[in-house]
Amino acid sequence: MRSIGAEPFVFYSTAHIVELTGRTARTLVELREGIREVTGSSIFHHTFGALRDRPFAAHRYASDFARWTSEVLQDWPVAERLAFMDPTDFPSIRELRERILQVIDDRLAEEGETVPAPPGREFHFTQSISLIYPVGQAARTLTELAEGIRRASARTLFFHLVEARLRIGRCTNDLSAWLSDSLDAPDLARRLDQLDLLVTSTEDLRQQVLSVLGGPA
Amino acid sequence: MSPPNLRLDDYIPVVGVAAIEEIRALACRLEGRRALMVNSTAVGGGVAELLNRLIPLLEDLGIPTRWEVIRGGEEFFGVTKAIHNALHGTRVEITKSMLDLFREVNAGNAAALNLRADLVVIHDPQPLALIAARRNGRDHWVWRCHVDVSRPQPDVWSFLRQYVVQYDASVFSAPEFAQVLPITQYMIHPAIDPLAEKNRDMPPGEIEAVLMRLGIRDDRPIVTQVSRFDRLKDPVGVIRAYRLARRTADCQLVLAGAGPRTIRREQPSWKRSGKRLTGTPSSTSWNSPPSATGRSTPSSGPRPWSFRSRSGKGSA
Repeated sequence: MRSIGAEPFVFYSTAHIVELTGRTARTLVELREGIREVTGSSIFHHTFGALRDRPFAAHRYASDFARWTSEVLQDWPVAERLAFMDPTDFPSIRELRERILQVIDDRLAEEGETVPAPPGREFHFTQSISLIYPVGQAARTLTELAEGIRRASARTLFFHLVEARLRIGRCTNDLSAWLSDSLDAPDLARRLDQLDLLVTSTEDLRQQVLSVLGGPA
Repeated sequence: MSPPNLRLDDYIPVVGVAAIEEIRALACRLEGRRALMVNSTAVGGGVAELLNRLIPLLEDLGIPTRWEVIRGGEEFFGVTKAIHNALHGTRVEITKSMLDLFREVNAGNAAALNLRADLVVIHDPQPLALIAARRNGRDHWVWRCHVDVSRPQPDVWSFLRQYVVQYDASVFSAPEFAQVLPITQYMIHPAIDPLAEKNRDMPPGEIEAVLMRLGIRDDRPIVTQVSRFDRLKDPVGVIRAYRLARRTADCQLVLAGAGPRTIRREQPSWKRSGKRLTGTPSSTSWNSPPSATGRSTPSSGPRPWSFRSRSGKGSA
């Protein structure tokens, strides 16, 4: 392991603007059609965005689709299957979308169409527009990385640990990639890759990361 | 009243240093841009409350922001109230003369106000038609709709829509408010200000004193609504809910708030104070409405209406 990284680790954050699409769904079939046709950024918003903005509910509802099918359609079998689908297990939005569609198709094949949502409880498809920007902090050593993690906002942590999986295209994250590639610390990288990202709060995630990095929380 | 020296750093104890630093990093990208907020009330109502807090924060971020309040008489604001009710789905008759007045007052304000800014944000339907005065395509106009428009009266929405489509973008408060529009529709959820006077933690002694003054018991559950006393807030629904609840629980009903007449159409509090924020225009650019529309909040503050259960002294 090098004491100073070959390249600095630059901390970024994101701002998200929510855009209304005007598209709604009242039934499981309409939800399926919507999921099939909306943009990738809408799928991102309803899955990763749900994890980012409502981490306290992540263990129960890993996506807005799981929450709606449970709370509104009260279709427990499909809700349960969607709830157990961890978006961070998928290396791309395309594969995540296909898996969600498969779960709904399986349910429709079993049961057919279920009771529609009551008026006013429709599913509203929205999408995120993301602005990614550096927060003005960088790390060259393990100590500086830990200090940066200690100071980072919830959105910075989410960007580097969770959203990174989609950007890098493999089941890892920005921190692990830097530890492995720039600091030549593959063991630390592997341990970070094994973290459970569906934690109940960003603080829990921060503590887990700091614990792996070996610094005081 | 809002403190004129509100700073973004005041929120660090609530959201942490990192979140504030990130907002400042984002704001750097807007350096040199000027913003303008336009609404119809200076005091009272959610929009005025929001702007009183938001504008000092934008100034603190280095984004010079002006706030203009449109002028209009009782008749005009009667029309806009009817439009407001129609957007909420209440059947309202809107006549041609009412729409003509809406257009005329907006045109008059457009001629009187300085609407030049890089970003012009028009709040709610009252000043919506100011867009007709837009002079060039270099500035950006956004309509910020704070009203529930999920089931608007069709003819009223059709009238407003002709103005909405001229904006660059619109902002609504909930997904169900989305409309069929050729412009982008964004969503910003309603939020509360943790540092506002109404949201601060109250020490136990103060709570006790208020409950005692208003005759509210602290040993029985309370069913409450905190809102403007307005039919749109459905206070009757709250009373019905209370009646259902008291069948099984010995509870009290507290309707706490202020009436629509607490709305003032005059200068914002931090402008009246005589202090200027960096980048704000001189007071001569302020367009205060006729004094006839100025309404004062009682100095003693609004008194909640308290209803006790049948076993108590009063009844709903």
